[in-house]
Amino acid sequence: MALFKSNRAHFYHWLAAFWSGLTLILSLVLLSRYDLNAAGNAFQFVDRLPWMPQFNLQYQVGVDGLSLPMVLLTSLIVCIAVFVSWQTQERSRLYFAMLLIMETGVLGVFTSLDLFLFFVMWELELIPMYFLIGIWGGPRREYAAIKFILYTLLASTLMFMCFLAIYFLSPLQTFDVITLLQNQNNLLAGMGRPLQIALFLSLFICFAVKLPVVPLHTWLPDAHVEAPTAISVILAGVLLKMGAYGMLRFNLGFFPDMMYWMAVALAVLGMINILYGALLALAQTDMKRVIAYSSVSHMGFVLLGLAAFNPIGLNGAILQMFTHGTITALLFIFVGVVYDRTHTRDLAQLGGLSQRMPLAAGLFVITALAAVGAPGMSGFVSEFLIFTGTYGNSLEGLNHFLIQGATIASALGIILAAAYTLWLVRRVFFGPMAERWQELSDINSTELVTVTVLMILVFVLGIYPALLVDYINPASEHLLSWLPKVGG
Amino acid sequence: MDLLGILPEILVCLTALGVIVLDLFLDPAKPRTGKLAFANGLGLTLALGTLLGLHWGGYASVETFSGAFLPDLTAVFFRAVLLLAALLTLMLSVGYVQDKLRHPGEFYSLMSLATLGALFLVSASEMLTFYLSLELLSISSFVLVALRKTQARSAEAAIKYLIFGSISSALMLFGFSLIYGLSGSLNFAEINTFLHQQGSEFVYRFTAVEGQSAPAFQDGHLKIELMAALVLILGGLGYKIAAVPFHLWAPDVYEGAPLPVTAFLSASSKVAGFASLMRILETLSADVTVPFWTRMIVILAVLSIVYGNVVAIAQQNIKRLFAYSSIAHAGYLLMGIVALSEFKSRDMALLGLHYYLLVYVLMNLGAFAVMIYFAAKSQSVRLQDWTGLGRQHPWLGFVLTACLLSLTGLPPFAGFLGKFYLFGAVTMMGSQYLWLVLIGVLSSVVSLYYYARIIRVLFFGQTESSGSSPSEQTPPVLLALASGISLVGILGLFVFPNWVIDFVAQINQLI
Repeated sequence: MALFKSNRAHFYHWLAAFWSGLTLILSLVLLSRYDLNAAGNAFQFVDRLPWMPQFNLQYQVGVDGLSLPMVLLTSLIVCIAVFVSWQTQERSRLYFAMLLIMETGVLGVFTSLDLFLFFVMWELELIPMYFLIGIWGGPRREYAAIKFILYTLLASTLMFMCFLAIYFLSPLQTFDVITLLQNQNNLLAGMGRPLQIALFLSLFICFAVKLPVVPLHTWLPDAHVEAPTAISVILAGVLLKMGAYGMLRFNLGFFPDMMYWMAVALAVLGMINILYGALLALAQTDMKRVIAYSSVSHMGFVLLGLAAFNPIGLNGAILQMFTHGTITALLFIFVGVVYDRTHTRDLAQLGGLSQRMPLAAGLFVITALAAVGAPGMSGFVSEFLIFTGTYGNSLEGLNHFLIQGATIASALGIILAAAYTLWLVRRVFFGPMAERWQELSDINSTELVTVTVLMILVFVLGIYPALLVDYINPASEHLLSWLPKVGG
Repeated sequence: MDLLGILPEILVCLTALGVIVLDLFLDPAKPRTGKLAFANGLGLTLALGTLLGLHWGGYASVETFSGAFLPDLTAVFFRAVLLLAALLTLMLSVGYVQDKLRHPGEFYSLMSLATLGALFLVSASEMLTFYLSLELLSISSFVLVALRKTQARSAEAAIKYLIFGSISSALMLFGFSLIYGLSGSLNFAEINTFLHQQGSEFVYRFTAVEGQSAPAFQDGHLKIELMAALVLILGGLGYKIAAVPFHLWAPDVYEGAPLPVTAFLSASSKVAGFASLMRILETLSADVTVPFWTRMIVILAVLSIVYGNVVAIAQQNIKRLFAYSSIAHAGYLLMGIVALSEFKSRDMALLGLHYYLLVYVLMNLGAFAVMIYFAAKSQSVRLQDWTGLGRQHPWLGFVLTACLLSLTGLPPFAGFLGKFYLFGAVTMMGSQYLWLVLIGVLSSVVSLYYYARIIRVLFFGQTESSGSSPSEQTPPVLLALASGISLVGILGLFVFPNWVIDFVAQINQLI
């Protein structure tokens, strides 16, 4: 896989566009050559190079139905982000270099099949992000950047500890994910139960920070608000997915019994995320903050889907990761569009922009509907799958009903989502227009192209989700095949 | 007499003397730093070449000079690292010495002498040689610190260093004499044999009370004479590696010394200290002593890591910041020493220590190379005066950033692998030491905060960019070369750590 060559790029806009485009094309090639009929559990395109053979460490990458959509999403969103940041003039060389290094890191996270490599890639993504927020960000960027990196790094040290323990204290002595996945539940044999739980929780917390799960989410609004548009797009579109991916791959993959054990907690956390994020989104006056909290809310659905412990819910969760990536990217692009022209994100000052920007307004309404989860768009499909999955969750007894309760409560989140999204649309694009916005121009062609591409994707997946679910389903079935007593 | 074994040392010694002689014959009116540095560099390169040539030529390691000198593989490794450190220090010092120091000849010759002391120290195999080499290293360092003698701070630092140094080496000497008194030998191998055979005489034994079995002798308390000897020796070496609570000299000395000397102290002195600590502890390791010194080292490690990292946050002066950061790094390395105490984690710990010390030299000296240039540019070592320097010098800024991230322990730099080996070794000891690893990794996050502050100042600062066209003045070639070597080193060692692993595996097989 040549995906990892992208950091060799030289730096300016076209080169960045070329490299990210090439990566996108390569990942599409990957998609087309992915063998759907192979056994669902197998990783494909596994590429393996010894790194430190003395310690069983290797450079090993590959994809399965879980990581493939994420690879596709990453390369797509980064490519879009390059075009979104077409206006960036200040120190553009460094900017695009950082962007591409980050893409390398993120793709590495989604494809690496070696815990050590995974951790390296996970950290590799942090440094460029720190610079991207810290140099090109808004007024409080330094604070946001350091908060972002400290939060994530603190969390990833927990992961590091867990990996060390898995490596040194387990009988296997390997970082090879494929081998480890074949030995689920035996990883920590020989350790005390409290230690096992501690390791599991530390891994969970690490990914929970990234996801982000309330109450570990406070870095997110700051980072979003201060980051430039393209970076917000990537942050929401791709980086948050790393947390969810980690939970699916490692927490669920390595310790399914413990994950099962805390299913109710997952559902409740998901519910809190959904409702709390939505409520906070309602209360914001900054466009970006609204969307940042909506991200918190939408990522809650992923957690909820996890708690279902049946393939439907899990498919929904993975699909939600993808669709949220595209839809939130769209929302942030529109914020960027508005901000570029008005230089404010304050809802109180905006309004009536549709008179000057009819095209943008129209497209934004569609996006908002997608975010709300209107039928026919991909958000609807994934949320529907999640609700179906969690309502018919595979737990038994009281837990079954608790999760159903959480599901019903979470459904309120959709109503809230409709409230804040449509309210956002109304405050920005409709209503009386302030005098000073008379000069505004409508959305330009570069922006139009990026928006259209994403929007087509949203519609296609909304109408024919099997396009992606076909890839996801075997993976999620495999993820659950080890579960104890999967009930009807 | 096997002169081949100490050929590198002979060359370094000749270099030190030759530089002084050369200094006499050069016209003081003309700039002579370049010539002196060249002569010195030539000598050190020759020594390094000889050392590596001997090693690759299959020169076998034997104890020579009546057991005073043991050039085994560990010693070969650390001597190479020390010579590399001296060469890098030399490269980064040229500009500074030319501008700031009136005695270039003395600087270079003393630096070579200190290196010579360090070289002997890491391969000494009996206590007198050990002590003499340590003194050679220390006394040269005292003078080096005082080299800017017109400056009050430099003189003050030198006096502090001298007093601390003399007291600690006196205490260590006392510890040695106790050991000598107990074992009747100065030779490390003989002392080790003695402790293994008769060590149980130095613990209090409890007689069995009815029904209970007698406590194993590890549970008994060490008798006072052996305990005192251990404490004194560890204290003396703890001073050399600047571990808390023997660190008090470090911030002041680092601040007062000329910048290249600070770089030298933070790299060579530390490497020599750790290499000798490893050897001494190996000597003093027996069933009776291991639990005792492990406990002591654990305490030192925790204190150093926490104190160094926390206090570094508050520093505004780059030199002081690096003093505290070097204290913290001593703590990480001490974690590796802790892991030496158990057989199952020993290989990993050895690897971690070797690898981390090599990488530490590279990343620290790389950072210092850039900082010396920036300090000269801004005429200041205060952090806030460096605003925007990274934007004016993107290449050097990049090197400094890479070195700082490596010091933090972030991939893709070698510092990360080093920490991985060290922490991994401690994890291998079992879950009862996981809390130590936790402290280590959490402190690494803390350290990111102050390292990132430097990066932030360099890059994020809103400079007025008044007339600051990028790289209006190119840095000296040698300094750029030193920073380049460091960068290549920390990236290269991350991707290809295998040769270090293999080398250390070779050491283990011999043991």
